[in-house]
Amino acid sequence: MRIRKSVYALDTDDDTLEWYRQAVDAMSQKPVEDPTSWYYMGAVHGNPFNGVPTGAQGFWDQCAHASWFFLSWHRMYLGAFEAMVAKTVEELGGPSEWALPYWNYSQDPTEEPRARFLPEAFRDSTLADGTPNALFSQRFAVTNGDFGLDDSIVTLDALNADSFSDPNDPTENFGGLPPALNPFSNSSGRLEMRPHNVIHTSIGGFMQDPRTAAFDPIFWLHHCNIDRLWEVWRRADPTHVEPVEPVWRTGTQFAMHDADGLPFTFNSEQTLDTTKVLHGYVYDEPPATPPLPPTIITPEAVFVSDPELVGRSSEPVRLVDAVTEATVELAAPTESSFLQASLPDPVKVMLVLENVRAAGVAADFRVLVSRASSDETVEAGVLATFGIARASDPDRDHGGTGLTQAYDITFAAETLGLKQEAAPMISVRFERITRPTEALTEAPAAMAEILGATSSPQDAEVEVERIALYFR
Amino acid sequence: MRQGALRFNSVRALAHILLGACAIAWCILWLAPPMTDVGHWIAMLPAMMAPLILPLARKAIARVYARERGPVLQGFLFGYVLCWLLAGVPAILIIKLLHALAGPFAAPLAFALAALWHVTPARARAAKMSHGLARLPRGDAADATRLGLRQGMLCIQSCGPLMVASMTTHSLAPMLLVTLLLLAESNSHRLPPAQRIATLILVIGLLPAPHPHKMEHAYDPPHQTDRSFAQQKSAVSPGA
Repeated sequence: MRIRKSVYALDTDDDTLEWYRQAVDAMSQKPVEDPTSWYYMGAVHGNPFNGVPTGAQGFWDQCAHASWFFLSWHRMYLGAFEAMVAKTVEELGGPSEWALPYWNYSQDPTEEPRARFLPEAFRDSTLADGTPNALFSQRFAVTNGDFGLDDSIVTLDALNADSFSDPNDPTENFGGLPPALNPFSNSSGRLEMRPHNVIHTSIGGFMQDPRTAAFDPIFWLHHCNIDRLWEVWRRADPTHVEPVEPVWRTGTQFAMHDADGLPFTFNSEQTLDTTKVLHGYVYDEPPATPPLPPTIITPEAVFVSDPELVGRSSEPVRLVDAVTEATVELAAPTESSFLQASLPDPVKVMLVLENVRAAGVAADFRVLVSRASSDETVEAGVLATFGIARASDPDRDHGGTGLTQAYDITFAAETLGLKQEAAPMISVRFERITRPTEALTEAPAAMAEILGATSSPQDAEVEVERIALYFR
Repeated sequence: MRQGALRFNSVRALAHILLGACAIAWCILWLAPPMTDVGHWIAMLPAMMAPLILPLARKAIARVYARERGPVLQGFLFGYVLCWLLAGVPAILIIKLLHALAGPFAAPLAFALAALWHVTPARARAAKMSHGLARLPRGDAADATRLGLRQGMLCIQSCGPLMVASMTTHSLAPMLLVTLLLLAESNSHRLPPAQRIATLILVIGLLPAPHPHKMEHAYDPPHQTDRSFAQQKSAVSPGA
């Protein structure tokens, strides 16, 4: 059984990353049409090339973002990639049980001071002997692997989610929402939103765009960590279970190739036991216990109420400046009294950014809320834009609806004046998140073709169709 | 009682209304005597489209204030239905043309054309766009009507050729299969491969199972409908 270990827990003389580098190098030499090649596997996530080779139809360009298949699809994708790398490592004379390491950027820095820094093996474009480093990629040109990953980026708040997929509450979904029959079906799950999306956008370069993300070798260590966090969540509480709907479990099939390049299909149910995902694997550490889940929602509320719109912005909001302010007007007095009457009960206040669109790679924004005419602001969360161009494209799965992101701001109800009789409006402030640098490193020469594909706008304008306040 | 609870009931009520209309329409199509083309088109709309519009109508009312849900729902459905009713005029003309040109092969021809439409990028785009709300409703009936019209247009681009093909048969089995196909597609994570859908459509078009009461009508010019039905009736039950 393969054991996936933390990249920073590897012994100093451990050669896991060296074998990874050599395998990536060897896989990069294979033609793109080979299902076990580096380029083919990268394109399974997103296709930056012009066209699709014969036989790759249905295999390329599959990544399931802003969807409840996000975790299960990526688990098998990692498994298939790991099997291919392991086979290559063996062919190169390496160990037979090679396993992907994971990058636990959320580890307490007092425990592991390097946790938030890109592992060293990935940082330099060349090796000591001057040859190209296959683990290098185009990223923000930071020093010492410091991408500015602060607490708000590496937060494990997602582990507090009560449900894998709660159709009545877009803030309470660990793993995402079903595509149909749901008012907020273009929302990401909480783990996908943070830390997954914001790590992608914080690293920059290839990682910032779903079409090129899997061509950066750090992508696989990042997703290995996300996969581990799913395992942590599902083992933390017996109520943490995946959707029971057949359309999630067995009704939706995906196709990939195994280490021998042979095609296979799978469904989400087949990914639930990690020891049975292809060759099987486990993680090195016992699953951590997440913080206690919030207790403000009664079971009655979960099953009885849908989110209730109580306030909305009047016009779309364009995020063009470093700071953008917008207001959300609350509903007429009838609904205000509902607010007043209901807040003492166990209810929730949600800020929802609806149908957020952009035409290219965009910045992330910190979302702050305050009571109008008050200086006291509270942070609602981060608007992560990874994958936004795809979600805004009418020709892709979301049909151009963009992304919807929901934040639980119940904790700020008092500050926002929602418990008082009159709270006519609240202010929402978007602060563009600044990176340590936004200059990009040179892409490896072998990636020239892919680099050409990343020429979509790098700082695209983001538009929020509506900011809404929901209540439940 | 909290309004949250009322809202949940309103969603359930919406489902009851639309799915009830769907069930009644299927009963009419099954039990009623052969209808004119216009009547058939009108009955087909709730039968085939109500389950498809349900999630979109729910999304529309979930994103407006409680007091706006009634007007928004009415406006949205009015726009959507109006769109489809107007589309009935060219649809019926196309059906007549197909019958005139291809006679008994009108239905397979219509399904073949629909299958051809399903492998085009334009259809794929319309289908993806029609599975979500084109935009958020503003909260008034006039805006909701415009949104319903827009959603209806997308739906016609996506499903119109299959609706026309289904009506060409005047038979329940292809209609039911087409409805199930469209429902499965709208509930899927991503559009199934177009070639696979096109193949299924071709197979449905070749199904030789029209409704026994309507078989003659399916391949007869429309003006012969009444006579055919009268002859059929007297043949089956001469004493009636």
